Amino acid sequence: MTGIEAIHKALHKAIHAQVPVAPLAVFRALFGLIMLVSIIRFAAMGWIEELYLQPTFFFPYEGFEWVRPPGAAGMYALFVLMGVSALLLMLGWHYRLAAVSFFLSFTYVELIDKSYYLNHYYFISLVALLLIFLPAHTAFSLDAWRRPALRRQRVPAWCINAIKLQLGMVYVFAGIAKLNPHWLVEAMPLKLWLPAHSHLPLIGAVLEWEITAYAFSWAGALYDLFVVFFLLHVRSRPWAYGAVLLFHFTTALLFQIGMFPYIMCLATLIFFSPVFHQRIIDATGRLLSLPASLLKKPQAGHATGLRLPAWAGRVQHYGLAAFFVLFFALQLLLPFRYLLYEGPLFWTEQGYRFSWRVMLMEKAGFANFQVYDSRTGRSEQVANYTYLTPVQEKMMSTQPDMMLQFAQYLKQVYEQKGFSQPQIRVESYVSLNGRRSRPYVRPNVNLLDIRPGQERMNWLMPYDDVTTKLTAHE
Amino acid sequence: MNKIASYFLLFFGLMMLGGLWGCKTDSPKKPNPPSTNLAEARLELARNMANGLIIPAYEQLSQRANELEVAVGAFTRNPDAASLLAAREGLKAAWLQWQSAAMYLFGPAENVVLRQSLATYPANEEKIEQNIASGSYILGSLDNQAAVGFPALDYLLNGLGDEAQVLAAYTTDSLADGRRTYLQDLSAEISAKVNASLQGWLAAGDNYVAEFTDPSAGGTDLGSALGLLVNSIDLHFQRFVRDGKVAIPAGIRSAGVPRPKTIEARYGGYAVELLRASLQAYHRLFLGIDANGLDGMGLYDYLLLLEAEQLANDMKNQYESLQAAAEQLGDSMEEEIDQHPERLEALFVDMQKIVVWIKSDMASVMGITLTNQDNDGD
Repeated sequence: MTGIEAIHKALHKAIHAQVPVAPLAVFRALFGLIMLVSIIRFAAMGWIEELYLQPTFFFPYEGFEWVRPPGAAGMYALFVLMGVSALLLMLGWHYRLAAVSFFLSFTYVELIDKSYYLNHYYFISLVALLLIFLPAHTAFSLDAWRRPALRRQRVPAWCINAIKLQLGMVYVFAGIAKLNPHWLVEAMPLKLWLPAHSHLPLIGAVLEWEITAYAFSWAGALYDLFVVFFLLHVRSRPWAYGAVLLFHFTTALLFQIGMFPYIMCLATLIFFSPVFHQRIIDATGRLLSLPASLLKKPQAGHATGLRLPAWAGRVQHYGLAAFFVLFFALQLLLPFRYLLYEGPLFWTEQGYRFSWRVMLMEKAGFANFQVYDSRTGRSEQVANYTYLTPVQEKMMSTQPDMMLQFAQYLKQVYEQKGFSQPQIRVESYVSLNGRRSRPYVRPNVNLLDIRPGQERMNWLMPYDDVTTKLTAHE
Repeated sequence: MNKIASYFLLFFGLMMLGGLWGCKTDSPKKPNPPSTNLAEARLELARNMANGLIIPAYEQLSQRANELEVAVGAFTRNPDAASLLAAREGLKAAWLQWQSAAMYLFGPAENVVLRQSLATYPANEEKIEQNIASGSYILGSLDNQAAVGFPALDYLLNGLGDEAQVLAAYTTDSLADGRRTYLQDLSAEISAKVNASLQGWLAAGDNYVAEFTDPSAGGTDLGSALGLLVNSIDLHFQRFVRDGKVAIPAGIRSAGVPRPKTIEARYGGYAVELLRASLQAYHRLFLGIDANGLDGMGLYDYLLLLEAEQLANDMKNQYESLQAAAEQLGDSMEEEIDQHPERLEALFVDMQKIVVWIKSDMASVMGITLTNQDNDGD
């Protein structure tokens, strides 16, 4: 057998082999549960009000400018819809509808404002999109209980492998992103972030040691790069899952990253065997005294579900295949799109988002906008806090695309104030990984002349020493 | 299993080697690591801030506020030139002392909305007159924030005309009774709010000092002592010192058109003195100089421990030159705005540097997120 044949065979097995549905069903239930908890927490923190109702201006994503907060009642309704959808996902009740409405409501909220971009929100959107196409309700669900015809014992392997592949991409790309001199040679930003927690009992003192920052940086990079392969392998799996728990609970303790660690700890359970998941299902059943008919394993053999005419079946088959290929190909390419642009990525952030660059740098800045009236020559310095919340201002101060959006907004504001043909310049400084702050945007540039997609190094100050000069403090 | 275990050992070994190698390449050019541990330094900073600066600032403010209340009481019982002068001096002394307490926006002060209740300006004169005329008002309410506090007292004691006219307003005027009552209510309200803040901090009161200096608040996250302090001065310095005292009245936020009505203490005419007091308080806060003049642990010292000497000294020098620049100003803010706008613009630019350094350099090296609200990170 040639190598190509072997690969083809393995691939065929990973896609078409019939495997027990239990891991997928448990994943669905746990995902719904943790989403429900996250949404309730988000609301309880008052963040719906704080992040989406109080601001007067939002930073939309390019192409999604039409996504706006639908007013106070609308915003709360959106979160109720999101919460109910998560609950339905957990119960497996009206599953497809719930998956669609969860994906749409969650993604809509995320698209309202870039300021709140988090990799783990992006991850949730992707998983929710995947779930729409997966038969995760064919066991351990109210749908399957109510409609025995739906029940299955086995599903094609791709249904489960798609989720494993998604998780693998998150980890591996996060690992690749860490392979840079800041992270590996300088131990930045952990060298700044770890000592900030040295008051913690027991481990506190260790966090101030420089070697700890190096150990955490290297261990973190190795973990991200390789953990998924150890999770795939049956013998190393318990150890790898131990590493998952250790890694995510450490980050939960040290950093303010909300629900992400818990989401990942639950999601990676999917790597475990069907037997393990069947035990979870059985144990849950006993614990909640669920009726046996809800848990009963269906007859052996695989139901094919809806009977479609042959041509429709083919359309569905190839359509689905095309979707998945596109879905993952796009994710493979997005993290590398930064190579299309000039300048150091950490400085320009052109191609930074949607690439699993997680907690990768410490960046803080300051931006002072000055609006000029072209006719009279008079000018005014803008108090950012008049228009932006502290979070929005902080995010905008280090991200050039957001500065352009804010400048466009200021243009409208000042035209209404009677400025004719306003020009807007910004005096800005950014500090990267603990270095002293430096001028960021070229001070003589009229931000209103810059197109959003324009090469950023054309209008940012150069930052040439980012990879060459490696001293942490000047 | 053996194969897997050996992979693990290999990775672990690589990781340790990497760590050692990384250390070696980086350490030679650095001075010896500080012997003091940072967690202990942060606790010491919190203790010095609480016991050396914040509580004494409230204690003195509380005394000044009580004296003001007494002086106002004496004036309302017997309005004459001498008692008016005493009340005016009481107001000025309390307002100056407020500059040493104003930047601590968190904790008990936040609970009693102290800053808004004491120092919202310009005062809403119409609202004040309405309150006096109607005789029914709730001083603590949101819509009365511009009708209470020091700016309202400034209007009532200094802003009703010349001395004879002021005295007339409290004696012969048809609303004299109501005005006297209102004046007394204002000064009592100030005392009450300040005392509530002080009691909130004290060990004998609500004991916020214990919370602030507890080891569990010794990190740099938003609820930590350092996180609260730096977030608070970032916000306060920008809005209420740089903008409130300089940029807004000088017209820097209004296309160069001065707005003299927004001058702090515009009737009393001592806005420049308040500015100087504020800058001095900020300088002391940064260095950690307590109410008795003793130099304890401040942000400056903590930056030194973080080996950010250059930043520490840049900021120290900047606070010094800000004070020097404020000394150079004439005593009347109105004249400065009118005749030397360039001096105020220069001061604004110099203040801006401090803001840049707090927001970017200092926040970065200290690992503090300046968002003033908690949020999930990435």
